[in-house]
Amino acid sequence: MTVLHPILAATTESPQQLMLPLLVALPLLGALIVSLVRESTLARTIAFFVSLGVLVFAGLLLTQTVDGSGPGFHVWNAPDALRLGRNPATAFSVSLGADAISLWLVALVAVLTPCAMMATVSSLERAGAFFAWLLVLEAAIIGVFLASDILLFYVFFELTLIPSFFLIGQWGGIERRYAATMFFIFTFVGSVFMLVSILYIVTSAGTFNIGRCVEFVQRSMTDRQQFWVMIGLLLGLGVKTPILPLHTWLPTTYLQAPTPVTALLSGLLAKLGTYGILRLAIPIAVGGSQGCLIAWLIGLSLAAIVYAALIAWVQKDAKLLVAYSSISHLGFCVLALSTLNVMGGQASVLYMINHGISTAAVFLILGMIEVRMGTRSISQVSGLGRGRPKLAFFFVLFVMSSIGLPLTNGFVSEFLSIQSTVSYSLWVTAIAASGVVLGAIYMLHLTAKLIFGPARQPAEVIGTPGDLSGRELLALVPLATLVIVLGVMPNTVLNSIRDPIASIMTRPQPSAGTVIVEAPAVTSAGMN
Amino acid sequence: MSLFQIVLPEIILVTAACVLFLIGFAGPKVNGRVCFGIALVALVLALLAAFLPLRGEQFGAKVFADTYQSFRLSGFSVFVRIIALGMAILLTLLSAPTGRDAIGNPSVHWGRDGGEYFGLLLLSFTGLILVPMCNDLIVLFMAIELASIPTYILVSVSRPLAKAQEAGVKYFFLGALAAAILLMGMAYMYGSTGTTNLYQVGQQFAALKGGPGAPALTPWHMLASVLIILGLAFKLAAVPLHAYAADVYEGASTAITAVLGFVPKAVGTIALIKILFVLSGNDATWQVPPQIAKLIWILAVLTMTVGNLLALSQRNIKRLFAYSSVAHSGYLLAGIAFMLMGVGVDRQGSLISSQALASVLFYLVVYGVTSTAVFGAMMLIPTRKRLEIGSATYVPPATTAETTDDLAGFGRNHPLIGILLAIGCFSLIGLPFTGGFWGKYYLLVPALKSFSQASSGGGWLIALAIAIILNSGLSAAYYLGVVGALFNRKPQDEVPTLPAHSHGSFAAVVASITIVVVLGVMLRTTNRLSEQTRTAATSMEGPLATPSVPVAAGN
Repeated sequence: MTVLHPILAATTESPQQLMLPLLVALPLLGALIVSLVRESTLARTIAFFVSLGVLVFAGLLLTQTVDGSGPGFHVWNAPDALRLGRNPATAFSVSLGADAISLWLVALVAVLTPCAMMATVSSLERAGAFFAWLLVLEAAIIGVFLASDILLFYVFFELTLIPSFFLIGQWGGIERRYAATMFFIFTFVGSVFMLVSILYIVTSAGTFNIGRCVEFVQRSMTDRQQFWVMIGLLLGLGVKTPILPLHTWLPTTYLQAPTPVTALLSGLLAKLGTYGILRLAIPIAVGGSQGCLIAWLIGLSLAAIVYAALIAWVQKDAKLLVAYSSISHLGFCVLALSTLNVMGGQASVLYMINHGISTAAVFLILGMIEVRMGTRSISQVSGLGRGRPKLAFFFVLFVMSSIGLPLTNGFVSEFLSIQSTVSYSLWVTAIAASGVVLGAIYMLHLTAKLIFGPARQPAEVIGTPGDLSGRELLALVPLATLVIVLGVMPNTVLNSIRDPIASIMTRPQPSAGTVIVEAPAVTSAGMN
Repeated sequence: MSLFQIVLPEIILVTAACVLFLIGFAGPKVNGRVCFGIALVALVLALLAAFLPLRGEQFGAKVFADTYQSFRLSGFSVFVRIIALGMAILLTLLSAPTGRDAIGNPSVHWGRDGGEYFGLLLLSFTGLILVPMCNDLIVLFMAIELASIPTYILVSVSRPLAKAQEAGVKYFFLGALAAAILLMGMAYMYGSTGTTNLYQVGQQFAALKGGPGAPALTPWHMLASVLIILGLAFKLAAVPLHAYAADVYEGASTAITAVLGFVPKAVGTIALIKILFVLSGNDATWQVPPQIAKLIWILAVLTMTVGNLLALSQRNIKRLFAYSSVAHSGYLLAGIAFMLMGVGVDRQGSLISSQALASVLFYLVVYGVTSTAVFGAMMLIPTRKRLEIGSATYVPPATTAETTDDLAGFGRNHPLIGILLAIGCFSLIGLPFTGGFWGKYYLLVPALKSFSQASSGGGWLIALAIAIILNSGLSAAYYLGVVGALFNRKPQDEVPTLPAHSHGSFAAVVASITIVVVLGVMLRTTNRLSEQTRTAATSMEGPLATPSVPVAAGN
């Protein structure tokens, strides 16, 4: 039997398996402790070290998978108390699994969260609660990337809403309550459609395992069933990504959220959508029966690339500009996935990682500028680079990464994404490439206005705010390092994810009368 | 089993209620704590007595009945009675007095009528636990009214405010009208079948079947059924019979609002299920005439949509939760519609319609517990409203948080209570890691199972499933308004001080939220409850355990 999904074939047990639940449980436990801390600095310190702990575990798992010394995938099945039903093969259970794709994205979460924590201003009210919610958010996002049970994927997907709601609603800008509610409702309404699709798959397939569910959809559903299932999935995942007509929540939300949270929203939460598309929606289309939907996806991605870039160009608020640039960039990500070839898949995963790093970094540094200037408007502030070499250096570096300059991480993923479309149509390639040019225009426009030019600051700002502090450097240096490292050696990522991507992008073998449910239960290896 | 054993829980409750009414004459010497204690002990004893039928190993397969078959004690009724009594304990705890000499707690104020207050509460619960095992139209009507009439009085006596009196009167008149409609339906049912025995009515309908499928009912039968369903729709506050809900919920003390959120709903749901079972000709596949199924379908969609839309515009949170409870009635009705429309068996060979019935029972449990928690949490939050009498300002009597302004920023100052209320709201939305999520999950699964198999009629099922999920999205907006007011708004003025709330209500809230979270996270427990509901749902029918005296038609 062809292995359609690496998690499907996982039967080995290893001590590292316990690390998977730990990756989710550790931040939750940390959140519990941090929520009781009243002192701001102490709360940040504890939260920071908890998230560093997550980073260490994620790093350990990832290095073993990348250098081939450990197993290519890990599985963990929860004790029976967390299983809904008697038969482990057909019941919903808290089962986690990770292949290289999951682990790279988990590592991204583990890197960005401590950076966002360090970038949080010291004067924050009720910091304990803030950092606790950040840790809950981290746990929920990691949970999505690790879920090997399709309903568990949904459960964690929804769980991200609660911390986001509180983070935006309590610590956001003036319209924070409106933004928090709008973000929640948009995502929630989208994802309940996904829930119907998921339940439909589950009730038809008789299993909750993602791999076997996907295999069932590929082999046993008619084209019409596949079409509706995919529509439901795309509605849920597309709101989160966002895919073009479903993006209207994004500008307000990103604008109103506190900057570290905006960094996580764009850097991580958006990836839940693309990751879900890769895991659930794309395999349905790989068989070639959903050409119409794929054409729509490609069209909408192209529209997002160009349209959002044009909107970004005319923004006066720097945060809004980057928010729209994020929509444009994720267009590339979905576009590469929709090509349905291995290169596209690899490019897309690399794009998720790189976009996570560079957009989050740009948002964080914009937050640092806002703290100094009290505004983000590019018509009120200019010449920030004068006397602030560190700020200027990091800003320009992250902007270059965002544009996709060679030797920064953005270049490889953008190049590969565009290259992967050649097999689909050269017209698509041409339009996508124009997005790169537009990206360069608006980002350089932003840099020219903010960093260069005559030194100008709003009248309310007293004195001359200084350069980046040590705490802020601590948030930016790791990201800057990754920008260069992944720019120089992208093959570390690309090689390790080739096999998992290839198995997703492989056309399913037509098989007559295969009953998926009777396949041997891979979940029987429970570790109680 | 003798009749005495079958109705032992009811006997305990009614005896205790009589004692309480007598104590009421003792005047203010007997304080509320004694009355509360008697009521609580009686409920616990009744709960233990309700477990008695479970001793027999043959339980579930067989049905017990008294000689005249007025009651049939099946697995279904035992399950519902246990659940209802458990809920009754939680709901009574909400009315626990604050201290030794208290005449209520921050939300309830029964003055000198502590005996009557708790006595009426017990009578209402008696009616509630009678409904699932009634096997006779007259007994069923009496049980429904026994559950309802005390609540009319309770609404008025629960607090000394004009709007409570108004709510009580309004509830009484509309309730009386609904009872008349219900009774008229029952009269037609008796007139067209010649018997009041539900099981025999069902057997008569079964004889009308031409083959597999629904019985071919005559117009008189249909008229009777529709009138009965409408009468019960009032109990469920189903649209278009929902108009009283907001005023009554707002006027009553919050502790009684919580009772109204569960008791009439459970009575209506269970009675409706029993009547529909009869209409299907006592058939476990629940094939009722398609018109009836469509009627329930329409009621479900209307109820959930209108309820949610009305809730969106409320600023008074008691009115908001009143309309939210209307919407949840809609979800319950949707489960019943799935039960009527779902066809076939699933992969494991169990009937999809009985799975849908199990999901209704599961949802009823989860909703009851969550709504108790939410109303209970509101009793712990003080109101900012003040009455001005002359130059002095007073806190209005027996009033706790009623508007979103009362909640503003409360969760920041009192995180524990805030989080309890927030979890309740999340469960009502149906977010993961709460019981509410699994409630919606079980509700949707039978519909999708049937949809993936049905050759025809699947469109109705999937449309209703989509209506449910769209309504969850709609409902998120106002539930989030509550949670947002608690945490995302800044406290308006001074830090509100907590009133001296009763430990009983706090315990009830904590217990309810614990159940909600355990059902959400400890999936083995969730599964166990779901299996219990499955057993209950499949054991509505079944042969009698002891051959009883056959009852002549029209007896």
